[in-house]
Amino acid sequence: MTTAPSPSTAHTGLREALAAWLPDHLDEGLALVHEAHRPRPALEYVAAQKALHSWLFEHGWLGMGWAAEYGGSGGDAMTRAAVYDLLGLAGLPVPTTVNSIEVLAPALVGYAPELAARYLPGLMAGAEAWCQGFSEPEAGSDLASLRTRAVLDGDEWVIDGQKIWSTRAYGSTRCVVLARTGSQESRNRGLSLILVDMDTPGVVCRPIADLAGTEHFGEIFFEGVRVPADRLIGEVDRGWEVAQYALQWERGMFGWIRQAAMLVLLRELADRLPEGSRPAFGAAYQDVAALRLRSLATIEALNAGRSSGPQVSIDKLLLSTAERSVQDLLDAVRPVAIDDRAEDWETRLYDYLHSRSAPIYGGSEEIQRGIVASQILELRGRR
Amino acid sequence: MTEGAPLRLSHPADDTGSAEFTGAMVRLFAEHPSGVPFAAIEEFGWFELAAESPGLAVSAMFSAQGAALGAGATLEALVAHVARDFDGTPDWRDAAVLVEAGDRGFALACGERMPSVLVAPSPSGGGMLVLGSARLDPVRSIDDSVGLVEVAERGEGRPIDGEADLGSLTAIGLALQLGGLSERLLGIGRDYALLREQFGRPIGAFQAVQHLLADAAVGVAAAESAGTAAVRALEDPARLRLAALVAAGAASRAATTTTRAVQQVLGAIGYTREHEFHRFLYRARLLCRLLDSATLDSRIAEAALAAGVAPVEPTSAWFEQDEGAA
Repeated sequence: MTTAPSPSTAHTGLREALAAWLPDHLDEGLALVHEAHRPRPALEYVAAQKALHSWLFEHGWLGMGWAAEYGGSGGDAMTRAAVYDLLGLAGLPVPTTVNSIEVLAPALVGYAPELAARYLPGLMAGAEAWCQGFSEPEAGSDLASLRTRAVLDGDEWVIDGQKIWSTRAYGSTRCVVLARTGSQESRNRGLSLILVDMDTPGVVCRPIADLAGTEHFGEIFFEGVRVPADRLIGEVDRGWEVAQYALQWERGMFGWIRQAAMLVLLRELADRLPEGSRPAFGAAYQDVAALRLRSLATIEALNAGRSSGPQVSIDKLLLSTAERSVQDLLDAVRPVAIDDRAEDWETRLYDYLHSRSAPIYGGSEEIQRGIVASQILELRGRR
Repeated sequence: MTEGAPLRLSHPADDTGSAEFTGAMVRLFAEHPSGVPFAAIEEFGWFELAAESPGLAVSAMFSAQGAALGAGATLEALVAHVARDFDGTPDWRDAAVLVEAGDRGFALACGERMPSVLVAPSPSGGGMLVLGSARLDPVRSIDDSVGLVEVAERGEGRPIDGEADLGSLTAIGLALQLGGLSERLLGIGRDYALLREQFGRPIGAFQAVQHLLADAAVGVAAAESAGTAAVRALEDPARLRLAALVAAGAASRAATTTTRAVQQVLGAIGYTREHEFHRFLYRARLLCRLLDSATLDSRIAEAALAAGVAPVEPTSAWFEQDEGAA
């Protein structure tokens, strides 16, 4: 094993450190990436994601950008952004388990530092995978109407309800649950965020078969689930604020990780690009470039503590546009509907189908346009 | 009331004096309705600012020009700034920069005066020529508030001793103008959606109107990011061309989306000469034509492929920039 790059090499030294490390490790990494991105049932998928994650952690790449007390090796969000980008462009995209770190860890560090110190090291190392319990069957776009309840009983929360569309839920170690602690009428002012272990009695998780042929998400049932009171992230009834903060990181860092992956897809297409597809290639490149520049600005703002919120809805719209235009281009050049006997057909088919979820997950395009209109353009809503 | 309030498309940033400077430049364009001459840009102190903070100076000048639908020797100022250390540059007060749009070449005249020399890219690539005997003919366009000349004959020239990618520089200047124009037009559309009432409420309360304007906002935000990245690439010849083309592409998209959305929001009044919308549409179409927008997707593909499909801005660029700022 090669010496991990020290965080003091952060920023300019990273590129050189990766270039020096890569030749001896690329093949092993590509094999792990191949396994991690192969469409397969939930448990196998999570295991392969964690294998890639722990390998990158052992080699010092993941964990960079986080403080030592949380299992990291120092640096900040810009360090992480550089690592994800450089690895991605080298053909070693980070596993999706990193997404949950990027979404949940900043919220934990900011709103529950004790929980962060206790539980983040396992997540950082790839020993655990976490999921988000936000959406419910009757609370999708209208998230603030959710009904899963958490009631304080002595020094324990008792949780009852149901969550759905939780990415990578089946096989996860823990779940960050957004639950109602106030009255139903309190909308977003009566919600709290609680860290729940998935093996707690009363938690039942079921994978959901998706149209891409995998079990991308799951549904989680909570029946009299008892969780220690100190598992609260942030204050009681202030969970919405924490969830919004987490979603900002999701928009910034997830978009950033995706743009590197999409650039690699475009690069792989370059050699077989027919003349007639050049304009579509240029258009897709622009979509990815817009996502790249915009999500980086969001990460910089979040890192400096000056992100103000609704602007990330623009990033999310750029993300779904880029996902669609890249996959539509790939499909036009190498159609996926019929097996072309290429080695990567199954993965391409999966990628194409999975890209159809981008305009919906994490807040649909319509919700994002509504946020841009009401909170950035300050257009009045219905009265 | 929020009418006329600035659009907060980007995350809040530290005050760099950008808004103040842009405001001052907007007034400069207003004071010279037939075009800000090169000498007035000099007198304004733009070159001093450009030497100190080039990014701010370049962005502010062209965004202000776009927002104010202004005219003037701004492309010449940009090229003069970049070529400041080159030997053999012309007297910029008499010069115009060639804008190549497809198979035709144009220059933007300032006021009544025709430029006497033309600065054009060297046919061998990587450099500029001063063409003293070029023949320039006035040409009509969709936007008669801009003095446009067509290069009928390039004539004889002498090289300027120094490298400059003139095509990328003019693309950045035009793209930033188009971005500034689109942002101001989006603000006009937003204000009208708040003001105009139908069915007993402002039309901005209707989701169909909201989503039209939201899509325009996404386009304007993307153009702003791409324009900023292109300005950052001014110092890096290796990635200037791709960054300039991406900025041109993003600005063309923003202008197309925004003119469509805002015209739709304005309804019939937007089709009249009573409303100022037509001036924005004319200028947007002219700028898109000068950028040869119809071929941008192909040209971006070509430039991206030539660069090995590298990112428009590598991580090293922003790290170096961070260190420079620190």
